[in-house]
Amino acid sequence: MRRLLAVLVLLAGGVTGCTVADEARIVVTTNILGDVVSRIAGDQAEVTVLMKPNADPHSFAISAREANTMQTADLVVYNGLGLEEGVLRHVESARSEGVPVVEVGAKVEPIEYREGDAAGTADPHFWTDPARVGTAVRVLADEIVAHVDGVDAAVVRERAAAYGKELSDLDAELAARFGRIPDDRRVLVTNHHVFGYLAGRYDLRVIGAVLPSGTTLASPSASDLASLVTAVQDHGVRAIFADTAQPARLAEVLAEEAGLNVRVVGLYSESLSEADGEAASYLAMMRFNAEAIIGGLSG
Amino acid sequence: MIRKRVALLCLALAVSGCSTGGEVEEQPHGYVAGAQEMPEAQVAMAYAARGARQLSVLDLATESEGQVGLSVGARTLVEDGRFVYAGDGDRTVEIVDTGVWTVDHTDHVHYYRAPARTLGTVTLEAPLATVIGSEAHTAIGTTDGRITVLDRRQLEAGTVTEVSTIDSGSNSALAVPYAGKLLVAVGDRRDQPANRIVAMGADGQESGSFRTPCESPRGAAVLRGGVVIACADSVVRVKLDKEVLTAEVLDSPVSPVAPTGFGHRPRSNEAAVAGEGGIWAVNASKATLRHLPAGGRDLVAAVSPADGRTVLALDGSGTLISYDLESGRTIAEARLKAATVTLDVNRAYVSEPEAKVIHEIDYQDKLRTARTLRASQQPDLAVEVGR
Repeated sequence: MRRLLAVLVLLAGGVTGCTVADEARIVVTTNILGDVVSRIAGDQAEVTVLMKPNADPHSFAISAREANTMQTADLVVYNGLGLEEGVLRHVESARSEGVPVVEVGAKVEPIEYREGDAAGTADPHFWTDPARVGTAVRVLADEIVAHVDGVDAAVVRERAAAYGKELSDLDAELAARFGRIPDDRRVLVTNHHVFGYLAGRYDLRVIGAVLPSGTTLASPSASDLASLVTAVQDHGVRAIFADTAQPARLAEVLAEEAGLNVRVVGLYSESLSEADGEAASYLAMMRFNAEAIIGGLSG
Repeated sequence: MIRKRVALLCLALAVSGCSTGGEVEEQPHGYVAGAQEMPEAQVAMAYAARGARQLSVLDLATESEGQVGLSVGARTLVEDGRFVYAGDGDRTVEIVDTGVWTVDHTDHVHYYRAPARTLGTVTLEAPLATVIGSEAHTAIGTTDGRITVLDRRQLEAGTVTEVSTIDSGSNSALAVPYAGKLLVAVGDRRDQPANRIVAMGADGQESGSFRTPCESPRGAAVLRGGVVIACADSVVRVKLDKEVLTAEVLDSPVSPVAPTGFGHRPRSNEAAVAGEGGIWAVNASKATLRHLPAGGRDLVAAVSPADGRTVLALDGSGTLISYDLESGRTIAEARLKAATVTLDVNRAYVSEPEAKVIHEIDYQDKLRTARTLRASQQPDLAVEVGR
C-alpha cells in the first residue's frame, strides 16, 4: 500500500516530498544518545534514532534510506571513540557532504581502558557517568543551536538546562547512595566492559572476570571457574554483574562447585530497552542499574 | 549550504520514490535475514551413521537435537564452521546449512543462529577428494585433479552456485580460499601429485606472481596468522602481508608429513596433524613447526587446542591422548573407542560409534569426561559447527 502511494506521488510530479526538508532534522546513531538529544530538542527538531532498542551499538546496520537521511540532516550526532563500527562510514560520508557532525565521546574527556587487549585505547562508554552526560548535554545544545536551522535557541537552552538539572540530581543521588556502601564492598566483579566511567565517578572498583559459557556450565571443572572464583573470593563480593545467557545456572554452578553463594545480576550496558521495558530512557537505565548494583553490593 | 542539501534531498526522494517501503536493507558482514544474533557461540555436533540419509545436529549447550534429511547416504562429513558437506563416497556432495555460525571481526566476534536446512547437492565429474570452505568460497577437489569452486556467500543466502572449475594439471585436488583468492596446488603431469602452490582468482586465472614449492600437498588449514599447507617434507605458511601473499617453507625434521589432514579450532593460530610418524604441530603466526615422536605410537588424527602448551591425538584403537607440546610427554590418556575428535575453545568432542555416544572432554583438566551425550544414530561421522 505504501509502495503504491509512493508511485502515485512520483507520477504527480516528484517534488511533493521535499517539504520534509524545511523541518529541522537531527540524526543520532545510538538509542542512548537519541534519548538525550530528544530531551534537548523536544518539538524543535525531528530526531531520527538509527539504533533499535536492545541492539548492539557495535554492529547495528542501517538501511540505504537511513544512510540517505544522514546525508541530508541538519546535524548528525554519534557516540564515536570506536563504538559504532557498523555506521561509521555513513557518518564519514555525511561529514564529507558538509553535514555538521558531532562525536560526543570525544568532547567529554574520555578515559582509556586500563587492561585487556584494548588497554590504551579510548573507552567509548562515557554514558555510565551522568556527569559526563551533563557535559554532553551542554555540548549538544550548542551544536543544535549553531547548526539546526529554525530551532528557537532560547527553548533549546531552556530544555537543555532542565534536563541537565535532572542529570545532576541523578548524579547527586547516586553519589550519596554509593557513598553509603562501605569502601571495601564497592567492587563490581563483572564481564561487562562498559562500567569504567561509572566506577571512576562513584569510586567503585571494577574486577574483570571470565564467565564460563553454555557448554562449560554443563559440567564445569575448577579451571573453568578459576577466574571468577578467585575474583569473588579475593574481594568477598556477594553479587557478580554478568552478561550471560544463563544467570541462574551460573549461580547454581558457583554454589555447587566452589561453595560460593553469590547472586548473578544482569545490567543494561549499551542499549536502551523497548519503550515498555525497564530501561526505556537514559535516566531509567541509570536508575535500574544503580538499584541493581546497590542491591547486589548491599545484599 | 542548507539550500544545497535541500536539493540533494529532492533528488534522493525522487529516486527512492519518497517511500519508506521497498527499501534495500544494508547488511552487515555475516548477516542473513532470519538469523538471530546470540550472546555466545552456538556450538553443535553434526553427525551421521555411515551411509545414513540423515544428519543429526546436536546443540551442545541445550542438548536439544534436530534432524536434517539428506538425499545422499553420507560417507564423509566436512565442516567449514557453518556448512556441512556430506559426501556420498562418490561424486555427489550434499550441502547442509547447520544454522549456527560465528562471524569474526578480528577484535570481537558475533554469533548467529538460524534454522538448519539442506541447500541441495552438487554432482561432480569424479569422486570427491577434498572440501575447504572459508569466507567467500568453497573449493571442492575431485580425484581427477579438478577443483569446483562454489560461491560461499550464495550458500549463506541459501543457493548453491558454481563459480568455476579449475584444472590443477596434477592428480592433487587441493585449493584453499584465502584473502579473496584461491591458493591452488598445481603440477605438470596429470598422473603425478602437484608440486607447487599458486594464487588464482575465483575464475581460475592465475593472479600475481605468487608461487611456492610444495611436493605432494596433503591437507591445509586456514588460521589467524595465515594458511598452512602440509607438503611431503615441509609445511608451507602462506600469509597476506600488506596486500602481498608471502610464503614461508617450514622444513619438517621427519618426513613424510602425515597425510591425515590438520585438526584445529577456527580463528586460532595452531594446527596439528598426526600419523604413524608422530605429530606435526604448526603455529601460523610464529611460523614454527614442531615434531613430536609420540613414542612411535600409531596415531590417526591430531587436533590443536591452540594454547601453546598441548596437542591432542587419537590412536588407532580410539584412545585419546594429550601431549605436552614442549617436552612431547604424555599428560593424560582417555581409553575410549573413539572414531572422531574435534574441539573448541572450551571442550573437545569425541564420538564413540559403538556406544552411540559423544563424549565431551575437558582437555584442560586431564581429559576429564565432562558429559557423555547420547547420540540418536551411530556417530561414525561427526564434525563440530558454530565454533
